[in-house]
Amino acid sequence: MSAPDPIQAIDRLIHEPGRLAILTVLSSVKSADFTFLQQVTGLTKGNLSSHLARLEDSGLLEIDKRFVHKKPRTSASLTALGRKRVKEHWVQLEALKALSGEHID
Amino acid sequence: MDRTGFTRIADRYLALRGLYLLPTGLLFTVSGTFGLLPVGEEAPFESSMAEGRPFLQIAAGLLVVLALAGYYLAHRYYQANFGRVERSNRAKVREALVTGLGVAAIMAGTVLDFELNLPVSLYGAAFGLYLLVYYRSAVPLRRYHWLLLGGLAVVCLLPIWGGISDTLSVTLLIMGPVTAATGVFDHRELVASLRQARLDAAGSVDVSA
Repeated sequence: MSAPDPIQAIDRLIHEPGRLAILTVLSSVKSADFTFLQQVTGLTKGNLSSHLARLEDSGLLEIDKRFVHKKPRTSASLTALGRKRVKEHWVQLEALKALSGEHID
Repeated sequence: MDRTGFTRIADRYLALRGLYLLPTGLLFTVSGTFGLLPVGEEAPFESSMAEGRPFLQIAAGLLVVLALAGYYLAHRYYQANFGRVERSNRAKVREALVTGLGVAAIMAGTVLDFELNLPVSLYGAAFGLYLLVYYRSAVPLRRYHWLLLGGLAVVCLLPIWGGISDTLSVTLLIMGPVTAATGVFDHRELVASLRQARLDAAGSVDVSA
C-alpha cells in the first residue's frame, strides 16, 4: 500500500485563496468583523458572505450576527475544529514545499 | 499568500491606527507650550491657580475635551472603514504587560526628573523607548520609528537639560510633534499593509514565510 499523495491530501475547502486568507487571519485573533475581513482579503461583500457561509456550514467557524445601534454587525471566529484544520493545512503546505525542494535538488 | 503576513495583520492593524496619536500629539504640544502639566510649584498651571485666575485650568479642561473628541472620531473612522478585531487573550496579556511597564518607566522618569533635577530628560527618554518596545512587540519596526522615537530618546538622554527650569514642558514640546508625526506614518503604513494583504490574498500560496 503506497503513501497518500500529498497533493490529493490537500484540503480543497481550505486551500481556496480567499478562504485560506480568512481562516489564517482568524487563527491569530479571537474574532474579526466583516469589514476587517473584507479589508484584508479584498473580496466583494457577496464573495465574502458566500465563503463565510460555506466555512460556517463546514463547522470551521462561527458567525455572530447582531444589530448594534440599528446597524448590522457580523463577526466571525474560528471553532476548535477550524483552528486545528487550518494549522494542519499549513503544515501540509510546508511539507509539500519541502518535497518540491527535494525534487528540484 | 504569506502565512506570517496574515497571522500578523491584526496586530499590525491594532498597533498602526496612527490617527489616535494625532490628539495625543496635540495634547502634548499645547500642554508643553502653555505649561499645562500640573507638576511643580513654579509651573504656570500651579501659579495661575494660586493667583486665583484659573484660565489655564479651563484651557486644560477644554484641551482634554478636544482630545477626547479627537479619539472618538479616530475610533469611529477606524471601525467604520477598517473594522473591528478582538485580540487573542495572549496578545491582550502581552500588551497589558508592555503598557504597564511603559507607564511605570514614564512615571519613574517623571519623578526622577522632578526630584533630582538631572541634566537629562528621563521622562521623554522613557516615553520614546516605551513606544519603541510597544511597536516592536506588535509590528516590525520601520525606519521612521527609529528616527522619530529613537531620536526622541537620544535627544532626551543628551546632557543638555540642566539649565531648563521646566523640563517636563520642554520635553512635551518635542514629544508632541514626534507623536503626531509617528501617527501619520503609522496610518500610511497601515493602509499599505492592508493593500499588500489584499494583493497576497488574491495571489497564489507562498509557504516560504
